[in-house]
Amino acid sequence: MTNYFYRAFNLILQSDVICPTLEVVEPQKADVIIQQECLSHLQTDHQYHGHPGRLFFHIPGIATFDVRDGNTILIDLSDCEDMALAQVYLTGSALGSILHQRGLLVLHGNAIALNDEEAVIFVGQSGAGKSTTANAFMRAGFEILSDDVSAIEFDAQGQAWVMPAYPSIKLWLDAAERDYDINGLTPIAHRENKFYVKAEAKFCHGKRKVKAVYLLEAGLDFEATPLQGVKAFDELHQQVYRPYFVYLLGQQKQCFTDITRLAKSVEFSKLTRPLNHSHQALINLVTQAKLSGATT
Amino acid sequence: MILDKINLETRLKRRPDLVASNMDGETVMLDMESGQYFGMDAIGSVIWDKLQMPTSVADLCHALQAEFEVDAKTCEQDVSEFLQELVENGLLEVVE
Repeated sequence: MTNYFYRAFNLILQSDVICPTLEVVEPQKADVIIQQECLSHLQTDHQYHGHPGRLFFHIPGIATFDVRDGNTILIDLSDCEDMALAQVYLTGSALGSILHQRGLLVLHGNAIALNDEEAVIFVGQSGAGKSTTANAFMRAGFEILSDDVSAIEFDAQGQAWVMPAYPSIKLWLDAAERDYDINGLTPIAHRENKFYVKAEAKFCHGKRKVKAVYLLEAGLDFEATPLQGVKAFDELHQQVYRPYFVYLLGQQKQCFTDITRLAKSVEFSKLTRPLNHSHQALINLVTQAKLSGATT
Repeated sequence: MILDKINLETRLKRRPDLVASNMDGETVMLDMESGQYFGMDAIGSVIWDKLQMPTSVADLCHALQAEFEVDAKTCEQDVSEFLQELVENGLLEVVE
């Protein structure tokens, strides 16, 4: 069987399933093996199951996944009716499981490189405008590290770093139409009104220090409110990607510690803005607030 | 389980399987057993900090009165109420 080699979240993946959204690399020693295997014994219900070191789940009509020890994804595609959607789950939930198992803090949000050293992360509810914000930054000349999932690791000094994910962002039809020729874009499987936009040219390949985390919210006025204390913790812990994975893996303590570390070590603010607001004001605020030397 | 009301002689200690973190003077904690999160404001956090070792309600109140301008009666009443709440939420336990 053909093996494909990819890099995602600073990990080398060796996969016998093709993943068109990931960054292709030369064959080399892999951190994570993705392999097709019969998992019919795990197709019991539609729930997510797990225990320390392991998560498994069956998405009916799509795929069954068994994710182990932060280094193996077994995938059963025997009942797959939509390969594109299986790939979405593989690069989303399954890879997200790997990141949790490897002890990274995984947030539901995207990361934008401000310069050669630092990045900011945007989190927020679905529809808060995370991906359109990423797109606006990309079009303004900034490099993106990730769309949707941001994986954070702390070094020995307690500095938070965000990993480069993969070079594509997902946009809703209306946002995609504004800036791109729709005919040239790939729809995301069943969601015909959401499209992949390739970001290869503006993809940041190296990890960056987390400078700030911004919680995006729709509102009437353009406003930035610093978040602190219990409130900061409360808002940030709601941004964890697939929190039940943390629970199933029994990693609540580490997740708790990492959230408090992140909240204490970086600027964390809520950004409220009208949804039809120009992105330029937001870009200015984020890049000029306390920063200098943003890439152009 | 029915919890007795605490009084000034009651000695209290933190439950062992809690992880707590001070954030800008406030405290967040995770109950490892239930997976529940709790948050405490600045005043609650001062009280929590003084409970590192098993302490009686009376000793705790004395310490607080030395630090803050509050009369004994108000202090004892407010602190007892707060501690009762912590006991009921399983964050503190009574030392027998």
